[in-house]
Amino acid sequence: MDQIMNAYLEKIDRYLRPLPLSERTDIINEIKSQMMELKAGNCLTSDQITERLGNPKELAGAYLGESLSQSAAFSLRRLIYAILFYCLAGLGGIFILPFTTILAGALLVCGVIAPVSGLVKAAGFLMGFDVPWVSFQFGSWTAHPLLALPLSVLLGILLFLAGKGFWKLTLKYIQVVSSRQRSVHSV
Amino acid sequence: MNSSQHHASKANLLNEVSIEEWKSQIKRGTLEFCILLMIRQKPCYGYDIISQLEKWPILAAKESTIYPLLRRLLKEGYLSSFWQDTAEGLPPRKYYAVTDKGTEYLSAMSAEWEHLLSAIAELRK
Repeated sequence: MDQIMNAYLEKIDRYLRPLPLSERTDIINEIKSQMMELKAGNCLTSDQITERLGNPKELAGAYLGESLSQSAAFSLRRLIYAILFYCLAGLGGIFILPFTTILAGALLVCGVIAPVSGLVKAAGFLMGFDVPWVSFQFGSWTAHPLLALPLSVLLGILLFLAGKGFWKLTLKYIQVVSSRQRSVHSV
Repeated sequence: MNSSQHHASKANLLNEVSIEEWKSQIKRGTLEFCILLMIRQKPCYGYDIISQLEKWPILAAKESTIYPLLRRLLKEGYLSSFWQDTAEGLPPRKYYAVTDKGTEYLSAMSAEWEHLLSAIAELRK
C-alpha cells in the first residue's frame, strides 16, 4: 500500500462519511483488496490503479447512491407523509375540532332545554295559564301545548344523541390524530 | 469526401452511438442476473467477478458499478458475504455467496429471461 493508494482511500473514506463507521471500514477494506489484486494480478502501477478506479468522489458516490437510494426514497416519503399529516391535522385543528366541539356542546344543552321547555308549556296549560314565551313550532305549524311535551322530549332525545355523537367524534378525531402523530414520529 | 459519403458516415456514427447506448441499457438490465448466476456456481470476490466479466465485452463493468451493485444485493438479502484470508500475501478477500432468497430471485429471473428469449425468437422468425 503506497502513498497514492492511501491518499485515494482516505478520500473515499471522507466522501463516505454519511455511512456508519462499520460499513465504511468494510467498503474501504474491499477497495483496498481490489487495489492489491489489481497490482498483483494485472501488474498495474498505483497511478494506473487509481485511474482505473476513477474519481474517488464518483466511486464513493456510487456506493452512497446504492445504499442511500432506498433510505432516501424512504425518508422523502416520510417527509411527504409528515407534511401531509401536519397540514391535515392543522386544518382539522382549525375547522373540524371547533366545529365538532361547539356543536356537541350546543346540541347537548339543547337536548336538555327542549324537554324542560315542553314540560313548562304542558304544565302551564294544565294549570290553566298560557306560557307565551314557550311554544313548539315547526315552520308555521304550532303544536298543541299538551302535544308539545312528548314532541319536545323526543326532540330533546334526538338533540342529545346528536350532541353525544359529535362529542364522540371529537374524541375519536383527537385519538386518531395523536396515534397518527406517534406513527409519523416513530417511522 | 463527397456529400453522399459524408451522409453515410454521419448515419454510421449515429448508429454507433445508439448501439452503444442500447448495449449499456442491456448491461444495466442484465448485470444483476449475470452476477448472481456467476456467484451461484461458487462464492466469488469482487476482483474475481470483475475479471470474469471482462471476458465478455458486453458485460464488462467498472468497479464503481460492480461493488455498489454487490452491496445492494447484500442489503436486499440475495447475497451473503464473508471475509477470507489469502495465502498469497494479499489482503483478505470479501467473498459473496447466493442466499436462499437469492436462489429464489434467480429462478424467477431465469423464468422471465426465458419468456424474453422466446418472445424475441418468435419475433425474429
